[in-house]
Amino acid sequence: MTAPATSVLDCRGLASPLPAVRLAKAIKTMAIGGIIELFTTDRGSVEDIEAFEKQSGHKVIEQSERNGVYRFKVQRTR
Amino acid sequence: MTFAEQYRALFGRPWTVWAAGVLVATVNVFLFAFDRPWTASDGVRNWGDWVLTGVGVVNRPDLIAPWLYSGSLLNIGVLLGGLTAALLAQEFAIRVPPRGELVKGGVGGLMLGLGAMLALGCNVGGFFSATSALSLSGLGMMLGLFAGAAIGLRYLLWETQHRPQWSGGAGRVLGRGAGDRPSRQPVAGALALVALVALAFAYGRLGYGPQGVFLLFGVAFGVIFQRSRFCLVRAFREPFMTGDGEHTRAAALAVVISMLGFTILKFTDLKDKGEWVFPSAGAGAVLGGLVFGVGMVLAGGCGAGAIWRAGEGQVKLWAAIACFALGASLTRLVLVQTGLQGKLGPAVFLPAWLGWGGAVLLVVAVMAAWAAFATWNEATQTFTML
Repeated sequence: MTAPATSVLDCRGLASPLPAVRLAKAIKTMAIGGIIELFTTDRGSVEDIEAFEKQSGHKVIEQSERNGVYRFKVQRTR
Repeated sequence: MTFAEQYRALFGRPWTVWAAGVLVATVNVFLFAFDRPWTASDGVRNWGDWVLTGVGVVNRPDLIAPWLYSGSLLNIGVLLGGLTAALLAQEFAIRVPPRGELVKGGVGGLMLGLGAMLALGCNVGGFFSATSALSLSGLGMMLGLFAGAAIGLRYLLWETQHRPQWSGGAGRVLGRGAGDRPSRQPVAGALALVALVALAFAYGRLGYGPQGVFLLFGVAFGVIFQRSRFCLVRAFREPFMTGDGEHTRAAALAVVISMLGFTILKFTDLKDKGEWVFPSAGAGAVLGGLVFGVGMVLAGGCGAGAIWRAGEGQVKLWAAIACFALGASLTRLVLVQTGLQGKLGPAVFLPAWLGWGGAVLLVVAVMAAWAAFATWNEATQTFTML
């Protein structure tokens, strides 16, 4: 089984709501099962992305933080 | 709970948005009881006036220095409170955005200044506090903010789609430790807290006691907002973005609590009925709210949010505040010189029209409708643009 395609979205330096807006736009370009790996330095965007997950149904399969950079792996589910 | 566990509860985990709403409302009532309600635009305009007076553009013989003016000290407190809370939670870092983001911060800031002068207050003073004071202008500004936030978000979606280079480029984060745990920030935060309290006492010793109190009120707001990241921009914008309604509901509750407190102060004649009832309950409030609403989405912060986020190290908001200050000062100058200042709308104290019960009920009904809209929209995703 091949691993699902992953696209990287570098949103470091961008403030809310741009990272979530970019994520929403990018995830539509992926096939179902595809993954967006997003990097953001904005703490406000963490909540934007969590709200996006809750409302859109797409899944945050991984979430971590290192040195002020937040990393999300979001999978398109539908 | 051990001391360490309590520290982690306060500064290791975020405060809930509901707790923040209740606290902000309560502190605002305390502040009004002490002297006057909370607003940010008043202090920001003071900063703009100060700079422009220095270069001879503005002439205000009654101008009070920023380190002595109540509105300015409230804002300084919010900024330093945001900084202190961020340090204690190890969340401080200087975040430099790419150029296009700085431009949006600046343009957004100018709109915050323009909108606040038209409505005679920012979203804090012109909507939150004005509605609490039963001023019709507060509801007018709310209408404008509601539409403005939607328009601002629509613009951002357009820009992301058609001009992605306007937010492209790298940003930089400075001030984080090389290792995984920057551990000196809490010490700096504790020192900052001690320094702030000492500063308030110093004001007292110099005969400026109230000034020190305004500073501490600001610090309280700054800490509450930074810890919870409760966001009034989100309250207006989020129903149109992800559809999440939490901040909207918390904001609606905050307005109701603050309004009840203000009403008691006015009803018992502890405060004058006309206080914070702005002569802008017409085009001024609605148009001002509209412009302010677009600006706050572009800038990434409102009257409160721009300031505490600046304290957290977000450089985009430094640009926003600078332009907010200049925009407010210049707008006020133009409004006064063209005579438009008197044409923003009437000053309407709602109980004069509807009686005390009617006025209170109207504000509660509007806030309940706002919260209900957010909840319904959250379930049906009717107005979400994302």
